[in-house]
Amino acid sequence: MSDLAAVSSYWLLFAKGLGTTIWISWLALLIGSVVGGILAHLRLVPARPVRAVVVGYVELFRSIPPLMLFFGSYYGVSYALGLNLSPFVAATVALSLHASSMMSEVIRGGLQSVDSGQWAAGRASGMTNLQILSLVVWPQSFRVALPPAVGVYIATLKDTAVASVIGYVELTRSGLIVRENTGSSFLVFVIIAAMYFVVCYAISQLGAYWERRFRIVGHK
Amino acid sequence: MSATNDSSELVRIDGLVKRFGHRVVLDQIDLTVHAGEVVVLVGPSGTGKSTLLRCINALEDFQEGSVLFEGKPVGRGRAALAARRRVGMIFQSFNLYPHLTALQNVTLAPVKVHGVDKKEAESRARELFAKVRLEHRADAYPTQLSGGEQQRVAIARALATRPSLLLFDEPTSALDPETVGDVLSVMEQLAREGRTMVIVTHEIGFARRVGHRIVFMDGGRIVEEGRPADIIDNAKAERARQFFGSILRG
Amino acid sequence: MYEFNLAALKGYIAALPPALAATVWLSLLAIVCSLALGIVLALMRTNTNRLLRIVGGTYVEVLRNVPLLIIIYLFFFGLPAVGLRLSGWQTSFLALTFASAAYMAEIVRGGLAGVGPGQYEAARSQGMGAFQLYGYVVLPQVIRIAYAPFGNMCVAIVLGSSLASVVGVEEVTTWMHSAGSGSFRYLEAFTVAALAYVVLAQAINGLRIATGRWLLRHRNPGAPL
Repeated sequence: MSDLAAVSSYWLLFAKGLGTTIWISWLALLIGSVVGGILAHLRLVPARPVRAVVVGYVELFRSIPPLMLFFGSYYGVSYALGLNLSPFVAATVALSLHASSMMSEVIRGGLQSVDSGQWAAGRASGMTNLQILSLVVWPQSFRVALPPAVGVYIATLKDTAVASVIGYVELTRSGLIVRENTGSSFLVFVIIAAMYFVVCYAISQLGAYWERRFRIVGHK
Repeated sequence: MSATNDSSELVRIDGLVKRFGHRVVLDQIDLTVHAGEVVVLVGPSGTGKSTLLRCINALEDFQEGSVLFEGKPVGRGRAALAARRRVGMIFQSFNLYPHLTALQNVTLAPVKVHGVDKKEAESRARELFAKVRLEHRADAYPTQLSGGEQQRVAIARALATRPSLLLFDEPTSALDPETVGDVLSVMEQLAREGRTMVIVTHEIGFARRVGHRIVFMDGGRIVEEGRPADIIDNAKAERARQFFGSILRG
Repeated sequence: MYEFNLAALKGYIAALPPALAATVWLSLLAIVCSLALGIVLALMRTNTNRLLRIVGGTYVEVLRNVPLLIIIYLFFFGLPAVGLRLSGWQTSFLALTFASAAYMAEIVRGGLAGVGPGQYEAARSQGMGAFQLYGYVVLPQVIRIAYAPFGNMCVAIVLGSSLASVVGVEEVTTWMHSAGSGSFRYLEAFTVAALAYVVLAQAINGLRIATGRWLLRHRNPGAPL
């Protein structure tokens, strides 16, 4: 298996690829959580147009394939605005947009899971909306929203593979580079697949652990 | 074991033994049910009463002994289908089909299993609804019915296939106390009509009033059986006396 | 300022319907085949046989934690190394089917789990054989539980089909790329293509909601769909 020897010599490239994968997926999740969180809370306002815009945003970015988002933010923006975004920026924008729509739904689910009686109780004891949110609603929402949020993270991490198509050097592109240099296809992709599997599976097990733990401590 | 076949024997259980792993759940059960009899199985929880009931229509299997229904062995798996089609069962948790209305619940088996014409099945179903006093709820879904109403629909469902035997597995244990009476009065009505019924229940008052024979089970065995008056007030076995004594005191 | 000019795409619009058809066809086939495979996997995962459970479980866990693009590359670049050279369409179809089957398996498994054991008991006690039991009692309930996640999975498959463009299949994303770079009007091409996907996805959503309303008609007014 001279293939194995050749491929193994690129272990550093694989490691760096994995590093950038985790880095960019984390970044996208962070941005997506902030944006998604804002959107989820905007859905609570009484103003109909505001809610409609949020729903439109979420449905839009849940109905466009990630690959299209990558192409749009990389090629589309450069053709249209003459602005040449680097693959990193374009990928981050695309991933964040997608993640924000998913996180908006997750956070919304967390907010909705809090019994409406909690709001009434908070108001009755003279709390402002912000106090109710931060002291009563968020702590309870967090428990409910955490497991699906882990799911969103795993999905985002898997989506980073598509960033390879616009030239961003993450794990998949690293694999394609090694493939070009060694001529070994099957082995390279098996290794890449195994690396994704180990990372994603580990995270999903962590999410399952949290879900179990929070279910015992919480009452819902 | 007699070689002759008494035709009034609807159910005949001989030497039934059921094991679950190494645990003996039913231990040498001999029981006969005659046509028109109401047999009530009583005893502490977990002593095999429901399991024995389920052996009659082969919902549970057993390792030794025999179960005869209408003179023929009940059989297992596919062979048991014939016997099951002539037995009606009512469950503690009702088990109505949630995706069908009450009426559809009652007509499903007659139409699809017995090949009855749909219109005929529906008119029979409405007769049965009248009998269990639920005429106005025929088009409701199970989730829209109370527990007592669901159980009465379940009784109508069991009756719809014109069974020669009715099995009741703790029919009122999951009901609110107020609705227990409704269901018991329907069961009493069926008993007065001369139906053959085997009932597992904790309702001792009902058993005394309606049962022809009480069978007291403990530890997977039939400890004592007899007429309600005899056994409830004057049980011979110590275990039985304890059981009935505590029920009547409490 | 950038001037949005849809008319610039005129020469490419004719190529859009076939591209749409290709996307729809690939997705439809993948939906049907992954559902079938998913049912098999679900039955494996709930079987009394431990080996079947392990094999089914491993399949589902592996395919849910590896990106679809990698599976496509494995089939497209990897298989020729062991002698099997498939076309772009074939590898996309296989990858999409095998990957989606893992999710379909969980959807089916969830549906089956939602049917209580009492249902089987009641149906058996009425003398129903296996076909009648599953046809009249179990399946109708599984469908009512699983139709919504199934609908969402169909949308996911349609969106996933866009990756077929990476291995040369002529579908909507390929169209966007060639129309956009050919006419230098990438933003317009992107808008049209994105619209196509949004329409497809929302149509499937609409079907899902309508199905739900029909399946759960007359029941618990006010219950969530």
